[in-house]
Amino acid sequence: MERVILKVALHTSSFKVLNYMSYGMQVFNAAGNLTLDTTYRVPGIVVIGSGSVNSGTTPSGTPASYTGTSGNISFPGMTPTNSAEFEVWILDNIPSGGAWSVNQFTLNRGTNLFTVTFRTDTSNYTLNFDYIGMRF
Amino acid sequence: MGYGIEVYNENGNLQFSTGQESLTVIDTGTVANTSAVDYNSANEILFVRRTTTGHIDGNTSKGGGAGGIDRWTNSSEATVEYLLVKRTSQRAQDNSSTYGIKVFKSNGTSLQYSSGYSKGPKLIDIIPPGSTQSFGYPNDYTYKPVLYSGSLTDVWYGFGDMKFTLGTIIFQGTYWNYTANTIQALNQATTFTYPNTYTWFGYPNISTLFILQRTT
Repeated sequence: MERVILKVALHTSSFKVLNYMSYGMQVFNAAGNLTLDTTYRVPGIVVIGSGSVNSGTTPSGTPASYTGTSGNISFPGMTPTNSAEFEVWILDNIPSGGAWSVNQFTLNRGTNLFTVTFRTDTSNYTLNFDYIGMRF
Repeated sequence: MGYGIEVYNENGNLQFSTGQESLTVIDTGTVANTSAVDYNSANEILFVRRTTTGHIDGNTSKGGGAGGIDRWTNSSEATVEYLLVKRTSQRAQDNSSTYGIKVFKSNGTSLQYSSGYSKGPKLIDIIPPGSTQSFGYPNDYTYKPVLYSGSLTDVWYGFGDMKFTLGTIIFQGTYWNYTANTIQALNQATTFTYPNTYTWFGYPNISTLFILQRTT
């Protein structure tokens, strides 16, 4: 790179490059457009992958529904309570027609991992899904 | 993190980290009612918006697009705009790389972050599965949860999965209200009770929902 335009301001009074910024960083591209501003919140990708969950064969309630929970899926940084910073993007997880009438899909947060719980009216139904673990 | 830098914005939210790669906008366009847009969900996330009051409904098809990638078919009864974002490591820069800032992965070539993209995504909210609930008839918006409230200028809606069958199913649908400046969630399906009664039931959102704003 021939030239870097980087504006940084810290919250300590001992160092401040620009007096109108209080925190964060601004980055401009070659066209002079602001591509990163101090109010921006930019998602970062921590993990990406695919998973599956099976509804099981044990009926519950009337009419019967079946509920299963996936195995642990690694997501470094996640905790049960930090949903304001770490969250999972779930894709392609609506079951096919006929299996969604009592459908419920729940994300269970753990420490450095998560699981999903899936409920349906179909016994032994395997639901495949994709996920992206994001930090933001 | 053991190496590198992290920057937080003025609200304490992550603005930039050398520990994770970020996302960049790769394509925008329009998709007419009943037409489709293809995307690769392994690397890309599809977002949609509309510029007038009304619904956004449609159907996702995993592997149903050209070449076996994914497809979203518009059932909104209107043309809507779409936007694709992609992982920075999977996307070449489209702006001059002689200015700004670039951060690479340890392999020295895959981008974690770059200002060399002409447009980028700014996260507004990410809504996990099971956290919203719709009630009532689809066109009664009293009991539809508000996903977003504020200016709808360049605001986009991302959904992990979407299903729509007229009069039967609305999963991950939305209602864009340009009078109230809100986006509301619609997750409902009908259940038939013999001999002739159809009742709409509300559901929690099944997939993760994403609200973002395009930058520059």
